[in-house]
Amino acid sequence: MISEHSKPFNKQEILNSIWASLWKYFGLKEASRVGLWMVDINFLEGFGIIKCSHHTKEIVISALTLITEISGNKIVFSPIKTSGTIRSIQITKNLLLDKNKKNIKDIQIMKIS
Amino acid sequence: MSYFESRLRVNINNFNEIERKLCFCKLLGIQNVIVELENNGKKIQPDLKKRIEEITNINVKYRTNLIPKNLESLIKKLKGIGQSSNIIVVESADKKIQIQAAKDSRVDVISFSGQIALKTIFPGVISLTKQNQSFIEFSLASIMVKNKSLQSKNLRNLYRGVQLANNLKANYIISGNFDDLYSIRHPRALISVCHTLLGISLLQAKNCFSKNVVSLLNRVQMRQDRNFIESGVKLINRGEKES
Repeated sequence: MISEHSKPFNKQEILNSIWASLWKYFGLKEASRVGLWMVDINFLEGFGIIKCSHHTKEIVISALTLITEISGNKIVFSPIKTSGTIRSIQITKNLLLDKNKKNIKDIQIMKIS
Repeated sequence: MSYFESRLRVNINNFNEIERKLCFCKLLGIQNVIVELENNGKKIQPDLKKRIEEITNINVKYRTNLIPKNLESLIKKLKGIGQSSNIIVVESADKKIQIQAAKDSRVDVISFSGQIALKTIFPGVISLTKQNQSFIEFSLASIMVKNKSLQSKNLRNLYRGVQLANNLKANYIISGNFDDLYSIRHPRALISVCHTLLGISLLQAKNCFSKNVVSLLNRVQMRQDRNFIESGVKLINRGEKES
């Protein structure tokens, strides 16, 4: 999740925009098959985990891709990984978090030196 | 195989913009980008490509877009371009220019990115590109506009064009061609859009962003090779083994 301004969003705003995009591009029939669930969202690190039916995976990715802004703030939802289990997604999430922390540490070391 | 963003337009006079766009691509996880250097008639500095490649570790390739006004202008613009290492793209709404470009072996891609050009696509040009093993290009930027009626109109035109190319088994690639920084999307996300909204199979959509682009780059390499005559015909020296 990459946004233009650092203005904080809330979970409901994001869910509403995903549903709006699903409705706009795929209509009631497809939206009813999705079974959308926001498992986790981290506004600080800028990523989240979305659970949906595997039959509608491509539809959800499309809907996320076609979201361009939320309440006037430009935003990009970019898929990082899809998986059949939440467990493996959590592993990827932890790896990403560690990588981010390491990057921040490296930057701090560079600044000190 | 990793995916390509086949058209990233940058202004050569604004290096900060180039830097920002490439860093944004890196942030999105895009690994391969084909950059279109918009020079507005100005000469490109020789070290510019080197400077661009030093920004990030993204694999950067280049393309040259030709927008001829008439046939004479196309012929003039194509003079001496055959040895260029860039992908040569011709973009025009004129059918005569499209046919001439599709016949010319120096032209790698006939672009139908613009809405006016997209409306003029016809089976003849597709057939010629197939014969010449060149490619057709579609862009998704037009369906990311705010205006709803315009968006649905653009989607309809794009759907029609892509379906025509798909039914005629054309060689085609799909690019993002996004102007705004925050409109740029990862090719994998665009594959989903193509599959769900443009009605092409997931495999075909993936090919449009990876396999077909690799074939296009191979074509460019072959074009530069003087010993390469046509597909399957290459001059080799006595005793030299084919690589």
